[in-house]
Amino acid sequence: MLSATAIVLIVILALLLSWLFYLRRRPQGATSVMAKARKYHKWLMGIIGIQFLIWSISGAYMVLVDIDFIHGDHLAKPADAKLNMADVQVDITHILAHYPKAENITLSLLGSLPVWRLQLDGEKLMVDATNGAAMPPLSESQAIRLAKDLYSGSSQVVSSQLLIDHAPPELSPRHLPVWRIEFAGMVSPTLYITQQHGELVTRRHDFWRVFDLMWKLHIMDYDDGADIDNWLLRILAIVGVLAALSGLILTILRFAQPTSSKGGAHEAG
Amino acid sequence: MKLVKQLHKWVSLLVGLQFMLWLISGVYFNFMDHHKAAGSTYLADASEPATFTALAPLPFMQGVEEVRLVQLLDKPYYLLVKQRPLYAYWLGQYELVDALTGKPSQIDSAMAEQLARASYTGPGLLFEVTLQQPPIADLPKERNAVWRVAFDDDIQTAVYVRQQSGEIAGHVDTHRRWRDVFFTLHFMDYASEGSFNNVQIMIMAVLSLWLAVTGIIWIIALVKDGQYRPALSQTQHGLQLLNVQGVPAGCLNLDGNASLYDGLAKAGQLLPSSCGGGGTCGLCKVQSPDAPAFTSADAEVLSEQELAQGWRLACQHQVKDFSGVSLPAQCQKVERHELQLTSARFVTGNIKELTFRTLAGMPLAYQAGAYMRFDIPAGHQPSVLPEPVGQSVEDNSKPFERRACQRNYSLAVPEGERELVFNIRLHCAPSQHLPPGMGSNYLCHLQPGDTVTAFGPFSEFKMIEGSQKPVVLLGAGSGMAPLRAILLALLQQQDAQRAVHFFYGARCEDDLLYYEEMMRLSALHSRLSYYPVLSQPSGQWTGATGYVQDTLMLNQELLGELTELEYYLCGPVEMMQQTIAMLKAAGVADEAIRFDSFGQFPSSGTDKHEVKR
Ligand SMILES: Cc1cc2nc3c(=O)[nH]c(=O)nc-3n(C[C@H](O)[C@H](O)[C@H](O)COP(=O)(O)OP(=O)(O)OC[C@H]3O[C@@H](n4cnc5c(N)ncnc54)[C@H](O)[C@@H]3O)c2cc1C
Ligand code: FES
Repeated sequence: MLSATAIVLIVILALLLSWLFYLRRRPQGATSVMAKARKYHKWLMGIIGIQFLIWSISGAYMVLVDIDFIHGDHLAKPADAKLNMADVQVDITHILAHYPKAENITLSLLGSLPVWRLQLDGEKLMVDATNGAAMPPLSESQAIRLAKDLYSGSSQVVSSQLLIDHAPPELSPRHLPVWRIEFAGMVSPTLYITQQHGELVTRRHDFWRVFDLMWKLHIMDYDDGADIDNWLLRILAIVGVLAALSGLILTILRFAQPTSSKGGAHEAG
Repeated sequence: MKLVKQLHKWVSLLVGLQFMLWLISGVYFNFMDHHKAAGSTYLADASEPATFTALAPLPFMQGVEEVRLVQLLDKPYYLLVKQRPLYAYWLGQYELVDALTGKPSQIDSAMAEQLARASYTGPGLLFEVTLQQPPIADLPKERNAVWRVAFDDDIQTAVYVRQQSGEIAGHVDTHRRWRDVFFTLHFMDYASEGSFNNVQIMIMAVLSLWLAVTGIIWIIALVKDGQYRPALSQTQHGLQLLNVQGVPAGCLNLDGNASLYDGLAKAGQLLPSSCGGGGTCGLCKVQSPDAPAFTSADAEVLSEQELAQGWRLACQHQVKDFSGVSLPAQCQKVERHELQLTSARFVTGNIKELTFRTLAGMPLAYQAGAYMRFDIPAGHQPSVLPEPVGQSVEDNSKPFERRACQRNYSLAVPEGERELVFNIRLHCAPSQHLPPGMGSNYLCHLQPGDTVTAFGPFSEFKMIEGSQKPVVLLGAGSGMAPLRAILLALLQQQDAQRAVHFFYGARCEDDLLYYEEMMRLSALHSRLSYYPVLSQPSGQWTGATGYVQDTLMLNQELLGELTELEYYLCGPVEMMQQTIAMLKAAGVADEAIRFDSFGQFPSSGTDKHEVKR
């Protein structure tokens, strides 16, 4: 892939350079091309210059802030507790016997309790692996306790809320119903824990929220942030290419030209 | 503001290319087919989640974080997750157990191939299965070992299967590879880290931010300066062109809404520019007697003095803001002529008279006093030695390298003559180590029959039109040339009764060029008085001695009222300077004195540069 990239780059460079040499041999031509480029650059940038500023600001934010930090990976402690098979009293055969239609069956921990998690007719269900009892959905206090266990910081919970029908933009609705647990802090760290499975599905903080805004601005999607190909972006991107191209031509010609400062080329002696 | 523009220009040099790559790849992401670009062209739909009965009990296990019941090729397996990665492509640790037999199981190449086939819908035949360790060229983010199952279809699909878990890590085909090329370009991810948090893009991003911010500031300044007035309609606007001396030299009809630079360019008057109308190079400056208020761009590039004198940047103003402009001499349209040398002779020890004829055979149009600009090509030649009149010296002089340049020489004959006569003073090398004068040596080295290129003639030094006042011509050395042309022109006006006084200074008798001719003419025309003046005469000399300007003042009573005459001067700067000072002291008006300078202007005030004629 790198070689293909290099080829594309080299071809673009070669085209630009050969064009430049062509123009250098016709100095008069260079000046009039430059004047035209100048005009296009001025007018096109006058129209969409602001979008360039937006692209630059949002792009700079996205590359300068580490994406793993943005993802909020640091908000939760690494979940690497191991299963203790001695605690697992209910085997898979028991689960299959009781729930023959179960799908996506897993055995894992809820805090320190081994549980079977499964899906039944599209509904999530959790079974206590120590006694085989189906477990009720997480209560508020359970959710808060779980969130505190998972949270890597030390600040207090400032709000908790059960989301049933409506997910905020930062949460995928397929996880619903979900407990939203927000902690105190400058960046409003928030954990989302599913009510049925007690699973941490999403973690968010303000840097992520700003990133999301920047992403939308960058791809100029002003409603839901999902489609990169809206027409507004298409048109502006093409106008942007022309505006920047005229600028690039200006730059090249400007630096290719001998910059005689004052007066003409003639001497009188 | 100047700094902002400089920054914008320099930063654009640094990020210009990357900027284009961002935009081009951005447009590509916009227009690409997302389904194909994700490598999904031949991706089978995910199989329905399966349900199972009659499985072997869970094996005994240790160090396991999670057990998943999965289905691979219609068979149930327990996937023991020993180390669960945050993202599937991060490094994980898994073990597979056959859920029917309870025995450990592994994804071997045969099974990888079957898994790949199951997720592949394309027409290709399998041609290669290899085990690959990260980093994997096709999957920059993947950190697990994968089986690469390659198909020979039209888009070279490769299906990647994670070796430990049997999960499909992805399909990669030509479409996706192209997308990845553009991702690499957009994210500057040349180290294939699968991320956009690399140092090079951070630097570029910060620089681009500079570019955008300085650009916006520039736009705001342009708006403030009224540079965003759209030219909705064309309105014709008559523009008077003036020559360097402010004398009208034609009229142009231009679109009043265009910038003066564009308008003039359209009319064939291309002003010099190295910024293309950006208001930063300052080369497009023109002078106008009724210049509009200056813009911030004018103020940055031009000096206060220039602004006060009516200099403006043509690219920063509209045509309709002007009624007249004077263009710099080098962009007034000039004619080009090929001249052939017909004869050459030394008329004094160091002044050579060269006579040319135009190759085209057409007489040139000009006014007496005009000069032509000669093209001096680069080359190699011996330096020409001065020639004491009558005897020729042997040509054994030192050769030198001639640079290409242009030099001006005044015509010594008035308009209408078939022959173009010049008086060239030979500039010898001032010392052993310095080269001699380029232009004079080139021309004085020409042989009859040789041709040269010359531009013009330029009629800048010329007689005051419509005047009948008596004329004083005063000069020295090669300053003879334009004065002789004027003198001959005056004498050609047969009927005129205009008195002509010619004061000419030289060192000694041998330096008095055209002495016989002048004596003859003054004998022929009573209205011509010729005053040769020598500074170092021989014993026999009975004429005036000293400096010409002093002789002029001494002969005042012969001339009449000084303020009733007009004066034409050409010669050394000091000579002209002193003459002008004396005449002004005697009450002569500025307009009555004209001079031609071969080097610097005698009055120091107005122009700080070396004079370009
Ligand atoms: C409108 C106008 C009309 C003119 N008409 C005439 C005319 O009719 N007749 C005429 O003879 N001239 C005329 N001139 C002057 C002429 O154009 C030239 O300037 C002149 O001939 C000298 O040019 P050059 O190329 O010979 O010498 P240049 O190459 O310009 O050199 C000038 C002198 O400097 C010396 N020199 C070179 N290098 C160095 C150095 N490194 N250090 C110190 N000295 C150095 C040279 O030896 C030489 O003596 C006119 C000028 C103008 C502007
Ligand atoms: S063209 Fe450069 S300043 Fe006007």
